[in-house]
Amino acid sequence: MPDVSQMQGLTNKLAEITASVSSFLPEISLAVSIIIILIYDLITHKRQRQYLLLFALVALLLTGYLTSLQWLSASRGAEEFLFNDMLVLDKASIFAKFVFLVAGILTILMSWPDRAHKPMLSIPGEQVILLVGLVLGTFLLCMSVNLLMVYLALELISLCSYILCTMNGDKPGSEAGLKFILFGAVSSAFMLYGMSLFYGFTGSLHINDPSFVAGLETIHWLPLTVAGLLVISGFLFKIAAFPFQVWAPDVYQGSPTPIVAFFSVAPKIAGLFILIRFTNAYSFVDLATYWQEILAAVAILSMTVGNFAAIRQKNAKRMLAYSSIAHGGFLLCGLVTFTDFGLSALLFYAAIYVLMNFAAFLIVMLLEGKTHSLEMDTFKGLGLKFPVLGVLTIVAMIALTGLPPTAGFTAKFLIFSSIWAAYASSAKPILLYLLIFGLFNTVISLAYYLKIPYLLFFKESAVTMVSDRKDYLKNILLVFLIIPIILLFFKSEWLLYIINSITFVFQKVHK
Amino acid sequence: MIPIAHYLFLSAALFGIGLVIIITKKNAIVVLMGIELILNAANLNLIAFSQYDPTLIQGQSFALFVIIIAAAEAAVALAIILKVYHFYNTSVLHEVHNLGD
Repeated sequence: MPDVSQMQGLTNKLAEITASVSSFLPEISLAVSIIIILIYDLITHKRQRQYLLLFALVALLLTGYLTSLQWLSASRGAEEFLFNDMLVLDKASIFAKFVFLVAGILTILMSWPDRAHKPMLSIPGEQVILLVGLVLGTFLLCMSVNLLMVYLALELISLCSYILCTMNGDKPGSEAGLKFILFGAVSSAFMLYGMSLFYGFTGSLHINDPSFVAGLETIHWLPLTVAGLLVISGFLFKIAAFPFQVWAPDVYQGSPTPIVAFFSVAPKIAGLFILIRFTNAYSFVDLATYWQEILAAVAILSMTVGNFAAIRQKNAKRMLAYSSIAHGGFLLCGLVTFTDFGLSALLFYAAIYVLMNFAAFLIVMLLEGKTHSLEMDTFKGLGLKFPVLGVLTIVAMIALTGLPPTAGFTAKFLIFSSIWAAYASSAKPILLYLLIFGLFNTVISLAYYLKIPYLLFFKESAVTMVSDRKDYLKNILLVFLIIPIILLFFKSEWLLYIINSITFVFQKVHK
Repeated sequence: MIPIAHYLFLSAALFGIGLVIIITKKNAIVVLMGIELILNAANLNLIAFSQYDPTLIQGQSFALFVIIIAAAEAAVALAIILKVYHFYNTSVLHEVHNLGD
């Protein structure tokens, strides 16, 4: 027989849940559209599959509208915790949601079949559903502040990714899927064990609750470090940072290109977000000092391993896989500073990274469409045949390297200046090493990013089999990705104005 | 009542056994079994620790979620292993290496 106070508590909880629903509309719209697409796929003829992509596109646009309404209400200072502190809705997470939506929309447009020819990518309904599910998972992960919610969101992303990776049903896809799921399952099992230890240390699952921090303060540093490393391994897997980067090249090579472009962006940024929230829960315990060193080492190793391995690659998608590992390292730099400036630099970098990475994958897709191969040697001389595509390739690769006049330069510049500012104020040698290795790696990355433009323009065409296929949608999309990359170099204050208004909410203030 | 340390030793042992299986075994299905052991070690921890949290029992509800997700993950993993078997006629991991340069 429950007593009165328990009943009262339950009523309060139910009231909070119903009150939270109105701040949860973007996620609800995604979930409902998954169900609608599923039913539509079941009842219609298989030939009308193109409409499924259209449905998903409309769903994401509608979600974007709902998210911008959230942005407006958050601008009026309404940051809030939802569903009994399961999720936090701060401006940073809304910004991340926009990034994920852009990634999702670009993925759908990239997998749009061109009318004149057979679709390059068969689009079963499940693929569209899983993609929307993946977007939903990233939405939830960037808002999570409860370990249970973190686990559920991370697994939603993981399970959708594993299936999407294998969906094509070909030999490389199945091998990539096997490697992906084994590495992913191991790292998420580690994370779960670490989470169970944290629950034991603190008796709470809410990472930004004062009682969680108070619990951590009483624990010896050794078990705390072990448990922290276990939890972080799950996040680093999503970021594809060293030493959890092993899966990335094979998965990128074996999966459909639009899906890979999404993998390389959205789960990575979502993983970074949860890492930021988790390490900041730690930083109240005065342990941030050595976490800074551990994460700085991870960042340095990711950059170095990614860049050195990328130089040796012959396959364009594998090259981009290693490049995305290196970019994961650069993104981590912004987090390692543990300053507001560093986080702003990270957000700027993340926004630019979406544009330039999707541009790079689109270019690879277009070149693949021309030569039917992903080996970079077959791209020789194509720049002279298709000058516009060649010039756009140069811009995208320069942006990925981080040279002016592209926003890639602005992003790297902000990251480096945030490290310098943190070093100047704290004088920790590790930050200086981070800066030196970052600059050093930018120089190395020049070697492999400029390889594609070099092959396009300065080598004689070896292969005569060039299909003269026109793919208007992808070409237009590429132009629309390149324009903001250049524009945001000259007008970076437009994006910075938005980012400077962003705050992370780390600790719940009891009113 | 059994002291909590006993549960922790058991779960640490399960974690260790699972880890050794993952590292040493070559068959994908056996590796999957090792992963399940680690998940169960975590579950045991969660349930043991939830005795300190008697009102909310968050640990126990967490464990329920973990069981469900582990089942889903195993289903996906076995489906993928089946697919790999279809192409490679093996589920031994080091024989599945066609990707790469």
